[in-house]
Amino acid sequence: MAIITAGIDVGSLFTKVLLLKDDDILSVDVLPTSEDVSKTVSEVSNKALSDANISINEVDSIASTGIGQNHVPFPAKQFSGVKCSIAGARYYFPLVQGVIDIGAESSKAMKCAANGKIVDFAANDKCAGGAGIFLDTMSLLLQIDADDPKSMDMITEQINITSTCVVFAESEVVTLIHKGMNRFDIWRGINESIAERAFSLAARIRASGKVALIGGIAKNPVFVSCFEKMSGYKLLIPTNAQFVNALGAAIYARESKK
Amino acid sequence: MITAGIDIGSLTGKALILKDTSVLSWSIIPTGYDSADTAKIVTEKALEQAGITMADIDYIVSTGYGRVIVPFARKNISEISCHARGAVWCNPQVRTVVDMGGQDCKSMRCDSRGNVISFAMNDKCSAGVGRYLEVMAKLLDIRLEDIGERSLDFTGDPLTISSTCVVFARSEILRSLQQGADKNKILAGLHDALVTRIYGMLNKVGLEKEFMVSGGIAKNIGIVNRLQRRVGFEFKTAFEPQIVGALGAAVLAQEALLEDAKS
Repeated sequence: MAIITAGIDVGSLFTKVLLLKDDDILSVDVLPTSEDVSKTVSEVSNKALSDANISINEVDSIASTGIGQNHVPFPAKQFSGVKCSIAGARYYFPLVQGVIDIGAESSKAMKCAANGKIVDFAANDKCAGGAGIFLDTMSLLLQIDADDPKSMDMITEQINITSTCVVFAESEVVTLIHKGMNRFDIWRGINESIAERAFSLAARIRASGKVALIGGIAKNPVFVSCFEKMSGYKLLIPTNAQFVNALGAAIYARESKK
Repeated sequence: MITAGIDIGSLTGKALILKDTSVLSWSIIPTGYDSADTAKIVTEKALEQAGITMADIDYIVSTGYGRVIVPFARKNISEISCHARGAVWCNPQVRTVVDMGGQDCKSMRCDSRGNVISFAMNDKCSAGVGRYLEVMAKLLDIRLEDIGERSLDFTGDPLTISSTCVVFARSEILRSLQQGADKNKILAGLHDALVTRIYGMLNKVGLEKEFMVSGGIAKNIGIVNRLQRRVGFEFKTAFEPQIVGALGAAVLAQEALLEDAKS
């Protein structure tokens, strides 16, 4: 008998839901997290169910993770983001040794053993300087689609953003725009500064070998290139990078059912 | 002996003219696109007020963020040294100084001559500088000049702000506003948070009487009052809190001039 489980990842910006049937991903869906978090969770879940063409009664078990994990309006077990990130990354890359997760308001670097056990981790949720939300604001300001593969080709020269603080960096970027600098060069500088902060987390736990990058940021080619260049990693990037934590939750939901 | 101190900050340029032991004039203007231009204009304004010309000045020292681009300065000296010198000149008993502007916060401990013994500085994180209050005043739609006063109007328990980062604190406060929190209660919480960070910095350099607050923050009664309560002793503000750095530069110019005369 096949087991169907749901993983719900409630982030500060986006809520992600993934449905898993044994080892197959049935559907993935995402919506911006609204003021009414429970309502958002219901909406995304309903979308995922209708995409997979199943009803809620067919779901055997549900698990949630993320900052809003206790705002899920149906019975669900809760699992930490670190556990879910590693379980989800191991689904794609069974031999993974390190995972970098960059969310809207927090970044994490994790190291795991061959059996998937957490060995070490470092996180930043105190300073927006290394978090994804800054890239969101800047892509709006510069009118650049963060996921556009062509943005790499538009870069002409190296511009460095010197401010650590997002508030200061924002004024720095405005000054650069007024100076008439190429917006793609500014965009690269911003990505590099976020990558630098992320790498300092990874370096703190000495992540090495097979390192995966998860979270929506993994679709951003400029960030990936900056991060690889500075770290020397050849990053493993899962196809559903944004849903890896939801996947991890679904995997834990399945294990709790066995 | 007439000297000038020019302090080119990131937001304002300041010039002060000192004749022996009296301040002849000073001027403050917003820093323009071109720092060298700003330095020229602000100095000319101060000269005009003093009724003298550039030729009357014996020595000029520049300081501040833009100090290296002041073309007519004989010497440039860090703002840390200048602020301590300026504070002690204003009040010879001063041993600890906090200077907070929009973009940075410095605290120094000094000796009776105004030589710096230890200092701490933050120009990396906007949560520990005046910018923090600027961002929040804008969010609350209250004039920056009024926030200090209004933070003191609230007498109950201030709002606890759990985030340090300005970006995160901003969303936290936005949520409180949506839940109908009193703006003065929020302001009280914000001022408390900033004072806690200043106090932490003071403990790093060591706190000694007398105590002076300079920079734009000295004009915020909400910060000054709370800091006074936290520190436990009264403190002084300069005759013009924004001019202390330029004053210190002019004092150091006098010393340099005397040094030159000796050799």
